[in-house]
Amino acid sequence: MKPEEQQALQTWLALEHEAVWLYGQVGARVRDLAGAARASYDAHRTERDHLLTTLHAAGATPVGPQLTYGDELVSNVRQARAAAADLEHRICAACVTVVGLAGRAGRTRAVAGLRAAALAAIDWDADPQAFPGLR
Amino acid sequence: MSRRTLLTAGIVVAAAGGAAAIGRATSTLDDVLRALGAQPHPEPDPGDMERVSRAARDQAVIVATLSAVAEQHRDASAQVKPLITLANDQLDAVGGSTANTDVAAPEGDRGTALTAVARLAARSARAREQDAVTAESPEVARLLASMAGGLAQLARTLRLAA
Repeated sequence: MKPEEQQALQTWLALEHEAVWLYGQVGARVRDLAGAARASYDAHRTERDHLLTTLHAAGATPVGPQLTYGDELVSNVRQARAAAADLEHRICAACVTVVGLAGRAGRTRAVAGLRAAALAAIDWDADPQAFPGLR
Repeated sequence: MSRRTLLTAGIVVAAAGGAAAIGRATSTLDDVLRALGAQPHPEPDPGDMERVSRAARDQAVIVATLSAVAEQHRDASAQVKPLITLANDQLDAVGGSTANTDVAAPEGDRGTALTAVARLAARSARAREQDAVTAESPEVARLLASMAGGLAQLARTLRLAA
């Protein structure tokens, strides 16, 4: 794996760590979104684990999670939706970067990750974009 | 947005001619790129030109169908118009046009029509994903992958509106 691709995967992984943290916070703090947060939490935990496996297999030391990503964002439904949509958009951008650097297998994974994040953004009330992740 | 997208993606395509089969797509993209001040690349990948050309053809059908739905179902117009703008941005980015695309609105009520366009968008999203995976140029891959994400969002939004 090229160093640039490895770095791009690390960026994506860092965002998946953040997503696992965020959706845990949303599920715990915003009762009306608990179900949606649980589904997102599970999806991002799965993606995080795939990326950990990929980076380990490439001989890299995967980035770890931060202790916190700030807790003032998820105290109500509106803020939680905005934080989730923003994070999903950032994951779209990370996936687009990987698409440009990876081989076919890596591209396939990144394209799937991009689709999942783009749809999740809609589910968290974001407006659709012509080119998610490319701006 | 669309023209900036091309620049962001860093797409470079053929300056002169290219294979006859891709001549039209090459010419279209060259025009777009020259308008942007981008430098065309001397050797385009014919496969990538065909991938972009396919995207343009499919996108023209989506834009034309969405426009027909907005015309036929006025009660959906407010919801559909922003989506037409989005789809037009995508069409513009791949150098396409609806000038030679003649489609009718899908039959049925408003919900049925919107669902039919959602299917078109979802199918195109999958096709763009496949083309992104196999694209020769990383820039074309990024553009098509992102476009696929946008089409998936368009399909989801249309289904929610149906």
